[in-house]
Amino acid sequence: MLTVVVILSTVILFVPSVTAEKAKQSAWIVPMVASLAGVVTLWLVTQLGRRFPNDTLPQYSQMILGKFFGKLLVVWYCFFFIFASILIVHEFIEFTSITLLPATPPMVLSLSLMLVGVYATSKGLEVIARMNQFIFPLLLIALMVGFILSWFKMDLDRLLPLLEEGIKPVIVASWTPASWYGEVIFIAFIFPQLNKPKEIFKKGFLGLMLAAGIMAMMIFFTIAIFGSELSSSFTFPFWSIIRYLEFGKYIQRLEIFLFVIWISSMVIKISVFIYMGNFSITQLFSIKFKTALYPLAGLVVFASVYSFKNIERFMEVLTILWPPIALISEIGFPVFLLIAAILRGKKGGDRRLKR
Amino acid sequence: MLKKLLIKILGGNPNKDSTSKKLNPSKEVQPLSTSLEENLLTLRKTLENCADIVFRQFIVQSPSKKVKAFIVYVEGLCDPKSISADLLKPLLSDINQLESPPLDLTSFHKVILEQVLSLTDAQTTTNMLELVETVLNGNVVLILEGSASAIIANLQQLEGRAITEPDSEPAVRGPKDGFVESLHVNASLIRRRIRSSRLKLELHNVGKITKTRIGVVYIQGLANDKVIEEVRRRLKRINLDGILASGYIEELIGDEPLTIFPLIQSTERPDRAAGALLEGRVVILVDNTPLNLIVPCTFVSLLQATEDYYNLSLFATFIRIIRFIALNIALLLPAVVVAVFSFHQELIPTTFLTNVASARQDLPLPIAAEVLLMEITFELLREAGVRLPKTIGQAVSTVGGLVIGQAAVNAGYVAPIPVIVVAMTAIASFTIPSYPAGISIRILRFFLLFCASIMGSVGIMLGLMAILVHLCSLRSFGVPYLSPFAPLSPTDLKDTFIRVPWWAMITRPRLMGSKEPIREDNAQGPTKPDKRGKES
Repeated sequence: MLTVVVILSTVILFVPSVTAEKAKQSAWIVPMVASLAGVVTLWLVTQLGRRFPNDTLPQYSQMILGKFFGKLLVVWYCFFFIFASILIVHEFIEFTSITLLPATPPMVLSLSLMLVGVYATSKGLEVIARMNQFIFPLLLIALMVGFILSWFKMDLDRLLPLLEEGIKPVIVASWTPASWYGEVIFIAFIFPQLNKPKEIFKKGFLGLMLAAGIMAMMIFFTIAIFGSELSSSFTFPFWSIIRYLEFGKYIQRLEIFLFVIWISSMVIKISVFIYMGNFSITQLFSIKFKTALYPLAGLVVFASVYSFKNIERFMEVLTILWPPIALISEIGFPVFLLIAAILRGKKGGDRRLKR
Repeated sequence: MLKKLLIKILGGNPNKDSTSKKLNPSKEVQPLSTSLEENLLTLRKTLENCADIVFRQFIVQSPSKKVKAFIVYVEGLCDPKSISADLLKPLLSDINQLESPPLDLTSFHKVILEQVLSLTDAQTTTNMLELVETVLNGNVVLILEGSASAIIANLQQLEGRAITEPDSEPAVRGPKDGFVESLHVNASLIRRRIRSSRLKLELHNVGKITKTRIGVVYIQGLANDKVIEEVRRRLKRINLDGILASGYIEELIGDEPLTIFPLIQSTERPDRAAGALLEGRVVILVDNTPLNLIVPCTFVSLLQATEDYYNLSLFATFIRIIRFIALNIALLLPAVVVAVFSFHQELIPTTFLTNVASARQDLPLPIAAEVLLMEITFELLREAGVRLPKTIGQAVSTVGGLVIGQAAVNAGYVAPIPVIVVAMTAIASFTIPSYPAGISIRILRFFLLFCASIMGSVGIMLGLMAILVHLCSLRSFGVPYLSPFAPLSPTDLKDTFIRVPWWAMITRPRLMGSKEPIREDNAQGPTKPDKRGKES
C-alpha cells in the first residue's frame, strides 16, 4: 500500500497534462504501459531480495561489486534519493503557492513540509508505514468522490478516436510516468525489514496495478471532460476538474478537500525518500541514523527553494532530465546487480537466518 | 534523548539508583527479642515522636500465670471498639475460663492465638521491621512477655468516603457506584462484578517512604501474560519516595517519556474496569485514589463511554458518531475558521461573505487574534470554574457566558463569529468522555490554531500530519496506540465508531493479545417468535 501512495501523490497533479500532450486522446492507456516499468523494477528487487534476504541494496551491492564500486553505486543512490526529495518538495511548493497560498514565501512552505517529514522519518519506518495505512483509505475515498461527481460532466466522444496515431505516441508519453512507477525501488532498501518478504511481489504488484488503475481513471476523466487539447494546457488538470465540479448549488469548491488529502500523501512521500536518502548515507559512512538526517533535510530545503527558477524549468527537469536518471537507477542498476550476482555466484545472508 | 536532557537539566542522576536500593529496609531482618521491655524500648525508639501511635501495656492474668503484654496501633486506623471487644476483653477476662491454662511462656503465646482471641484475621511475625510496617499499615500488634513472636491483628477501620456516583464519568444508564479511595473496597467492587477464581489481585508496595499499596488486577487466561509481566516489571522499577495518586504511576510506567496523549486510561467506574478486564486488559488499582488505571490503552478507547455498552447498539453507534464529530469540532473548528476567513475567503458563500465583511469592518484585531483571545478567555473561565467552590462557580459561569461574551461583541472587541466558534468548541470538547484526552485536545487546538494562522489549510494539514506521526509512534504496553486503525485490524473495527450488538461481539480485541480470543458462541442473537415456534 505504501507503493500506491508514494506513486499517486505526484501523479495526481502532473500526469494528465504531461501525457495528454503527447498521446492525445489515448493518454489514459499510458499508465498501463508505464506501470510495466514498475513491475520490472519490482521483479528485479524481489529477485535480488531473495538472493540476499538479510541485506539491503547498499549492503549487497558492496558484496557483489566489491567495496569500491559498491560504494560508488551507493553514492549514486544517495544523489538519486536526494534529488528525488528536492523534486518532491519543490512540487509541493510550486503547487501550494500557485493554488492556495500565493503570498507565502516558498522557504516557509518548504521548511514546514520538511519539519513534518523529518519528524516522521526520525520515528522510523514503522511509523511511516502506519501513517500510510491511516491515510490511504482517506485518499481512496477522496478520489472516489471526485470520480463519482465528475461522472456527470463526462463526454465520452472526446476519447475517440482511440490510438489514432498508433501505439507509438503512447509509449513515448510513458517515459515520464514510468520513472514514477519505478519508485518502488525503495523496497530494495527496506527488504530485510518487511514482515512477509515472500508476498512482497504479489502485494507490490497489486499496489502498482491499483495505482495504474487510478491514474488511468484520472486521465480518462480529465480528457473526457476537458478534451486532450485543454488538458495538456493546464498545469494541474485533475485539480482543475475538481475545481470545475459543482453539485447543485451547495457542494462547490471541492478542490480544497482533495488538496488537503494530497498534502498528507506528500508528507508520506517525502518522509519515505528522506528516509531512503538518509539510509544510503548512513550505510556509506556507517554513522548513526540521526546524524545525517538534519543536515540532509536542510540541504533539501534550500535546494528545493533555490534550484528552480520557475515552473517551466521545473517541468522541464521533471520530464526531460529526471526520467533517464530515475530509470537508470530504478531498472538499469538492479539489472546490472542481478546479472553480476548471478555471474559471480554470490549469495548472501544465510548466516543470520540460522541464528 | 529529550528525557535524558530533561533529567540532566533538573539535576537528577539516574546512576544513584544502585546505592539507594541498599537503604530499602524491607528486605532486612531484625529479630524480636524475648524480653518485653527490650521490644518495647526498640519500638518506642523507632516510633519516637509519633503522637498518633498508641502503646497500651497490660497484664494478662490466666489462672496459672501472670504475663505482661502490650499492644501497639495507630490511632484512627484501627477500630477502637473492636480492639477492646475482640482483643482486650478476651485477654483480660475471657482467659479465666480456659479449661487447660498454659503453664510455660512459649505455649502461652500459642494458646492465646488459637483459643483466646476472637479475630478473623491474625498472623504472627518475628521480624521487628515487618512489625513496624504492619503497625503503620493499620494493624494492631500484640507482644507478650517471653515470646519472640508478635501477633498481628487486622482490626483496620479506615475512615473512608461512602461509595458514590463517579463525578468525572456520570452515566444515565448503568450502575451508579464509583471507586473510592480504599484499595480493598475498590477491589471488592470489581470482585462483585467478576465472581471468578480466575480474577487475580496482586499486591505491590511502591514508594520508598509512603509504601503505597498497588494492586494489579487481571483475569488469568484472558490477559496477555507479556503485558502482566511488563506491568510487574515496570512497577518494580519505580524508585520514587512517594506515590500519592495514580497519576504518579501513570507517568512512571508509561511507554513514552513525553507525550501529549494519555497512554494509560484512568477510570472512576468499576464497571468500566470490569469491562476492560473482560477484554483482556490489566487494571492497576492504586491505594488512596479513586481513579484507577487501565492498560493497555488505545486512542479509540478514550473516546468510548461505558454507557455505550449498555445502550442498544444503534443508539450507541449514533452517539459515538456524534462524539467523533464533536472531537473534530473541538480540535479543528477554530483553526478551520481562521484558515477560511484569512486565507480561503473563496470558500465562504457570497451572501454570507458580505455580512461577515461588514461586521468585521471596524474591528481592531485580525480574526486569528480574536479567536485566540476568546479561546484563552474560555480556558480561564473553565479553570476558574474547576478551582472555585461550587456555589461561587455559578457566578463565574454567569459572568463568563453573558458578560464577557455579549459585552466583548457590543464593545466592538470581537466579531460575533469567534464567540460562536468558541462556544461550539467548548460544547464539543465536553462530550469527550475521558478527561485527560480532553486536555490533550485542548492543547492541540491551540497548536492547530497557530498552524492555521500561519499557513491556512496547508498549515492545518501539516499540523494534523505531525499529530498523526506522533500518534502512530505511540504504543501503550506494546499495543499500537492507533489500533485498530493503524495497524488495521478489520475484526476489531466492530467496537470503534460503531458498536455492534452484543450477539455479534464474538471476539476480544485482537491486539490485546488475549489467549482466549473467543468471547461467546456464534449465533446467539435473538430470533423472531414465529421462527422459534416453527423450530420447537
